[in-house]
Amino acid sequence: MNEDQVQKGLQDAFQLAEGKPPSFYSVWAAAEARHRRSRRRLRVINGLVAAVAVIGITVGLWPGQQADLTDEFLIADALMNSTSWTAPSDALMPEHQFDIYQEIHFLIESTNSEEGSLL
Amino acid sequence: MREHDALDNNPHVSRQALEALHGQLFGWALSRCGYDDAIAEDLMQQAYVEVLSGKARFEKKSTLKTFMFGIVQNLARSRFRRQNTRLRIVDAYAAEQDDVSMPHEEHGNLKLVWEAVESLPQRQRDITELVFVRDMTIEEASTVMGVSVGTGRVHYDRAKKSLADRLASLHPKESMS
Repeated sequence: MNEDQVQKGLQDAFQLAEGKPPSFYSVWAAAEARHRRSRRRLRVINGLVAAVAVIGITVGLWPGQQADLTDEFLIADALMNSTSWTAPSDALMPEHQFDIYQEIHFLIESTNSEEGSLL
Repeated sequence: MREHDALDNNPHVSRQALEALHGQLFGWALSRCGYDDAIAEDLMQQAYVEVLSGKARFEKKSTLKTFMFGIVQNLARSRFRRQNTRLRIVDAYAAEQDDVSMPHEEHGNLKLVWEAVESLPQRQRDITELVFVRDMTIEEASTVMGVSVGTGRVHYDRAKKSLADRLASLHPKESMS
């Protein structure tokens, strides 16, 4: 079999296997409908995302600030009325360390100098 | 320049040009999915949607035929990558059916030709179809298949040799050049 015969044979065999293709118009119309549907779906999804974003921003900005301010004042009041305070970093210390302000009730201070140094 | 009857999202593609390619493209889609009419039609619809939406944009870097065949090839590939397991089942089923979709009993030689093509490895079968049946050059066929021209040429030569060997029995005195 030469190349032309093989080509002819192949073309005939494929044509036989494929049969008649569906009409271009029906496939095209289905594709157009599919395209329209996916565009509509995309528009709905975009709308929903935008609506969720607007709601989120509104809820986030609206009543939240007042509550935060009240909390801040409450904490400030509590601090003003407290008589003792410990540094948050104290918890990191392995054991109780000498605290100069707690252990010595008053410090001797002087502004008189002795050989150039404060007493 | 905008084609006559051009698509909104693809100014270089016209409906008329797609219509002219429709039959060949459907044949290619069929061979991508084991000759399942429904899947082939779905692939065609998907390919047209890609062009309509402008997701696949034709910039005249190749012929429209190569471009459209490439879209169908890529769609089929990604579709069957997703449905790999299902494809294996379909393949097994098709093998069991022993080519029921090929009514070649009354076409002796065509049946032999078809069997010779079917026996080729996938890429050789693809390039044989694209070059011999779809009238593409080896360069165009390689583009559609996503391989280099050199690789395409190797597949083509091997396919031609293999076909010649298998079909020699039909007309033993003549040989394929």
